[in-house]
Amino acid sequence: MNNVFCPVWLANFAAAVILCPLLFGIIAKVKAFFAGRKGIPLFQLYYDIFKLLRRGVIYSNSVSIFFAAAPCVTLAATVVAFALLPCQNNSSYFAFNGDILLFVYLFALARAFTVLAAMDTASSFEGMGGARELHFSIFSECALMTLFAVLCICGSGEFSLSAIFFAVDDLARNSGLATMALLLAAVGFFIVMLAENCRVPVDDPETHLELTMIHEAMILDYSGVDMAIIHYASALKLWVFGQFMVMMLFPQLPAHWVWAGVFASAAAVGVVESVTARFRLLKVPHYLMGAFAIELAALALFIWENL
Amino acid sequence: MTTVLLPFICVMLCGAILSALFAFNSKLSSAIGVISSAANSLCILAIAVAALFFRDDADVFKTIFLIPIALIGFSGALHSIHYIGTKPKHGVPGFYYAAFNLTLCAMMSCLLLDGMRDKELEKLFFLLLWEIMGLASFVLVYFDFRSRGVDRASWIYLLSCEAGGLLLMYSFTHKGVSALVCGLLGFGLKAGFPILHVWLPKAHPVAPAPVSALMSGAMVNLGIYGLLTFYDLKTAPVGWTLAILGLAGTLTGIMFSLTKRNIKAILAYSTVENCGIITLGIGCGILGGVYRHAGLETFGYLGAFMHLINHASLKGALFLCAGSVYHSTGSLDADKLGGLIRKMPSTGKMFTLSALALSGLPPFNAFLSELVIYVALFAGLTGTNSLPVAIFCSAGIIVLGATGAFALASLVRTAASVFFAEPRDQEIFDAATPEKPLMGRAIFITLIPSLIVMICADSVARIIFNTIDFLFICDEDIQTAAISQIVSILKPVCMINCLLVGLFMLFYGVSTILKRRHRVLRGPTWDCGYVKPTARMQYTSSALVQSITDFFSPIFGIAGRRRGAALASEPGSDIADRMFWNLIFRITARWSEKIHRFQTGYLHFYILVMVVAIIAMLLWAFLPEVLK
Amino acid sequence: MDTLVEIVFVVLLGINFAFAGASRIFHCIRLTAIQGMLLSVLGYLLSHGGVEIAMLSTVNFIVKGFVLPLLLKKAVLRSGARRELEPLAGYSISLICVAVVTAVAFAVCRRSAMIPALSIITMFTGLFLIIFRKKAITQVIGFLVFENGIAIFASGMAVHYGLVIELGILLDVFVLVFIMGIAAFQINREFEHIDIDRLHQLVEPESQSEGQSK
Repeated sequence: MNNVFCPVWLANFAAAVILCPLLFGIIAKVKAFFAGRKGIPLFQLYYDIFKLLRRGVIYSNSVSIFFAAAPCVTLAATVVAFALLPCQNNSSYFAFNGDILLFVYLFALARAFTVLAAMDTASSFEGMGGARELHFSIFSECALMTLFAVLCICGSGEFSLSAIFFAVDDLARNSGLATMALLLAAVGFFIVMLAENCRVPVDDPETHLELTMIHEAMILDYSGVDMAIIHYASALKLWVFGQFMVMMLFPQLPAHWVWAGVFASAAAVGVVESVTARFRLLKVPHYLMGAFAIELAALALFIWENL
Repeated sequence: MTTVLLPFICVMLCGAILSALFAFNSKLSSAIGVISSAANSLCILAIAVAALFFRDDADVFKTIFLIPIALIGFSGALHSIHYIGTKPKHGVPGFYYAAFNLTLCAMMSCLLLDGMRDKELEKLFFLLLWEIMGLASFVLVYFDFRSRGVDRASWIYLLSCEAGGLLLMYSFTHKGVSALVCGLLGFGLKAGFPILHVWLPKAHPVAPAPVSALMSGAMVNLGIYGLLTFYDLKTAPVGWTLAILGLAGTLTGIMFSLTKRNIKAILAYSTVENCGIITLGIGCGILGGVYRHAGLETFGYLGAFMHLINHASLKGALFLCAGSVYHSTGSLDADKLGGLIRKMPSTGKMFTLSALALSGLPPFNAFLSELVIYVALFAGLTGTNSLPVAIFCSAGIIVLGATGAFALASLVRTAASVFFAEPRDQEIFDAATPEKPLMGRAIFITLIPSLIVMICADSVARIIFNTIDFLFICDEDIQTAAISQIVSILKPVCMINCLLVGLFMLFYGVSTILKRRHRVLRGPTWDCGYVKPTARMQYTSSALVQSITDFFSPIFGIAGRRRGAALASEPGSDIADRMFWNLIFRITARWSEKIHRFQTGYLHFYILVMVVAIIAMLLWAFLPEVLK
Repeated sequence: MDTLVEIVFVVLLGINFAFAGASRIFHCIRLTAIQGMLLSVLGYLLSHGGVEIAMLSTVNFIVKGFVLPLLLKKAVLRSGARRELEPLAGYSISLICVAVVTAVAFAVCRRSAMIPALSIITMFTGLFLIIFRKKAITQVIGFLVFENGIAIFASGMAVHYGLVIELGILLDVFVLVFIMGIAAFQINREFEHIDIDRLHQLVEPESQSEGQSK
C-alpha cells in the first residue's frame, strides 16, 4: 500500500462514483440513434435511482437475511474493486502485489451473493437466472485468469494492477509483438466485459420478464432502496471494466481522457448492442470459450516473447 | 514434544478402553468417551499452539498437522454428544467413542514418532499406528451399519485403507524408485489424489458427521505428512508428478462435486479439490527448489500449508453443519431440503459463510491461501526461463481460476438449496427439530482458526514459514526476501478485507435507515406475477447446475440420461470409477473365477492346498541356500 | 507502417478463431472475404512496394475479397442448403484446438518468424474446416482458407515467383472454387442435401444392402 497522496487517483475515484450512471444513458442514446429514435434522457438512471431511493421495499415471505445483504455486498465489492485500479500515473492507494486476483475475486463474491439471494426467493425465474450466471461465469473466469497471466508477464514480476499498467506502456513502445498480444487480449477482454456486465450478445438487460435474461432475472424480487443499490452497482461495474479496458490499451492517458475513453467504451457497447442480436443461450458458452481461446493465443505469444 | 504429549495420549487410550468396557451402559460410556477425547484434545491443542509460538525446532513442523487433529477431535467430540446421542438408532455409543478416541490416539501418535533412534523401528511403529488408525476409523464409518448403503461404502473404505497399508509396507522395506512410487500411491490413497480418491465420496456420506469432519479435515493431511517425512521429494520427477496430480485433482474433484446431491458427497469431492490445491502448492515448492526459483518455492510451500489449515477448519465446520442438518431432519439430500435457516439460523449462517469461504472468496481465509499459491504461480510464470515451468504455471493459474468458479457453483448451490427459500419436501421440514446450541458451538469452535487466519494472516504466514523452512533448498537470504514480500502482500489484503467489510456495514446501515422511512412490506414472492407459486417450482441444487453438468456431460458420463430431461437421482458417475477401477475389478474378477475352482467345499482339500503352499514357500526360501 | 502490419496480423489471427466459432455459412464466407482482403494488404505492406506488387495486390484484393465470396454465396443460395454449418466437432472444442495450434505454432516458429506461424495456423484452420464440418460448401471454404495460409507464407517470406505465376495460382483457385461450387450444387440436386458425410452411402448396392442388414 502506498501512502503517497494521489490527487488524480482521488479525482478519478470521485468522477467514477458520480458519473457512472451516465454510462447507461450513453448506451441507450447510442442504441436510440441506431434505431432512429430519440431515446430516453441521458440522466435517466439518476432519476430512477433517486426515485427508487425514496420508495419503500417489499420482501418476499421466503427470504432470509442474506437477501437484504446481497445488494450491499455487491456494491461494497464493486467499490473496492474500483479502488484497486490506478489512474494516469498515480498508482492506486490500495495497490499491492497480487491485487489483480483480488480484483477478479471481488466480482466473484458479488456474484455468489447475487445467486444466493436469487435462490433465496424460491422463485423459478430467479433460480433460472442464477443457474445461467453460474454456468457462464466458469468460462468468463477462465478467460479473465488467462488475461491476467498475460498482463502479469507484461508486468515482469510485478503483479499489481498499477505496476502492470505502467509496464504495459513501456512494453508496447518497445516491442511490436507485445502490442499484438495486447490487442488480442483486449479483444478477449471486451467479449468478457459484455458478458460480465450482462450486455447484449449474452444477456439482454431490456427484456424483463422473459426467458432470455440472466442478471435481470436474478434481481426480479428486489424493490426500492435495494433495487437502487443494484442499479448503481452495475453501473459502477461497467465503469470499472471500461476503465480497465482503457488502461490496458492506453495506460498513460490523462485522467479526463480516461473518462472520455470509458464513455467511448460504453458507446462501443451500445454499437455492439445495436448491430448484433442476442445469442441463443446454448451459444453463449462457445462465445465465451472464444474469448478464452483468444486470451490463450495472446498468452502463448507472450510466453514465447519472454523466453 | 513427544514426552509432553504422551501422557495425554495415554489417558485418551485409557478413555477408549474404558468406554468400550462400559459399553453396556450407554450414558456412562458416552460420558467417559466425550470427556476423554474432548479434554485431551483441548490440552493437546493448547500445547501445540504454544509450541508453535515458543519453539523453533523440527518438531514444530508437526504441530501444523497436529492442530487440525486436536481441533476437530475436540469439536467433533462435542458435536457427537447430540449427534450420536445416548440412544442412537443403530450402533452402540460406547464402541463409537472407543473407536473415536482410538482413532485420535493413533493419528496423533503417528505424528509423534520422531524421537526413536532406530529409523527402521520407527517405520514399523508408524505402519502399526497407520493400520490402527485405518481400522478404528473403519469402525467409525461402519457405525451406522443398519442403514442402506453403509455396507458397501465402508467395505470400499476398508479396502482402500488396507491397500494403502500394503503399499506402505512394501515401500518401507524397499529402496529406490519402486519404494517411492508405492509410497506415493499408499499415502496418496489417504490424501485423495486423483483416481485414488474414489473412497472419499463413498465413505464420507455414510460416516457419522464428526467422523467425516475428522477424516476430511485431519486424516487426509496425514497422507501429505507421510509423503513429506519419509521420502526425499526434492527431485524434478516427483515435483512434476505432484504438481500435475494437484492440477488434475483440483479440477476433477470440484467438477464431480457438481453431479452429487448428497451434501456430504459434495463436501467429500470438495475435499479432493482442496487436497489437490495443497498438493499443487507442494509441487510448486518442489519445482521451485529444483529449478532454483525462490518465489515459486517459498510461496508454493507456504500457500500449501496455509491452505491445509484453512481447509481443515472450514471443511471440519461444514461437515459438522451437515451433521447438524442430518441430526435435525434425517436427510442429507440437498434436493429435498430447503428453508432450514428458519429452523437452524446459526448453523445456516455458518454453513453459508464457510461455503463462501471455501470457494476462495474474499474477505474469507481460503482466499488468502489461494492468493499465496496464485502468487507463487505468477512468480513462476514471470521469473522463469524454462518453458515447461512457464506452461505449468499458466495452466495452474487457469485451472485455479476455473476451480474457483466451479467451487462457487457447487458450494453456493448446496448452501442455497439446503438453507434458503422454501422447503422442497414439506414433511421433512415439518419433522425437523430445531438446532442444538451445543452443536452450533462446536461448529463455531472449528471455525476459530479460520477467523484467526482472516484477521492476522501475515503473522500466521510468518509462523508457518518458520516451521517449514527446513523444506527449502534456495538460500536463506532469498527466502527472507520472499517472506517479507508475502507479508507485504498479506497485510494490505487484510486491510482491504477490513475495508470491504466496513463498506458493507456502512451500506447496509444506510440502506436500513432508508428502508425505515417506510414500513417494510412482506408478501409472497413476486415470480413475474405468477399467481400460485409452489415450493415444487423452485430450482433444486441439481437443477441449479444442470446446465453445467449438461455441458460437460461426456466427462460426467450422463450419456444415459436424455440431455435436458428431468433429473435422474444421481446423474453421472466418477470418471475414475468408470475408466479405471471398474476395468481393474472386472479383470480381477475374471481371474478370481479361475481360482474359484479350488473352493471345493472339502476341508481335506483345503488343508492339502495349505500344506502344499507352505512347502512351496519353504522351498522358495531355503532352496537357494541348500543348493549353494 | 509497423503498427499497421501488427493490426492486420492480429486481425488475421483473430479471424482463425472466428472461423472455428462461426456457425453460419454466410458468416464463414464473409470471413473469407475479409481474410482475402487483409491478406493482399499484408502482402503489399510487407514488400517494398513497386508497381508489379501493387497490381498483384489489387487483383488479389478484388478476386479474394469480392469475386470468390460472391461465387460461394451464389453456390449456397442455389443449393438452398440450410444456413447452419453442422459441425462434427463442437465449436468450443474447435476453438480450443485452434488456440492450442496457435500456441504450438508460435513455439515452433519463435519470435523471429511471426508470419510463418500465422500461415501455419491459417492452414490448420482450413484443414480443420475441411475435416470437421459436414457441408460440401465448407470444404470449399476450408480449401480457400488453406490457400490463404499458403499465400500468407509467401508474402511473409517475400517470395515472388513473378507476376505470371502468381496470377496463374490465383486463376487456379478461382477455377477450383467455381467448379466446387457447381459440384456442391450438383450434389445437392442429386441427393437433396449437401452433407458429404452421407456420400459414403454411394457404395456398391450389394455392400450397401449388407450394411443395412447389419
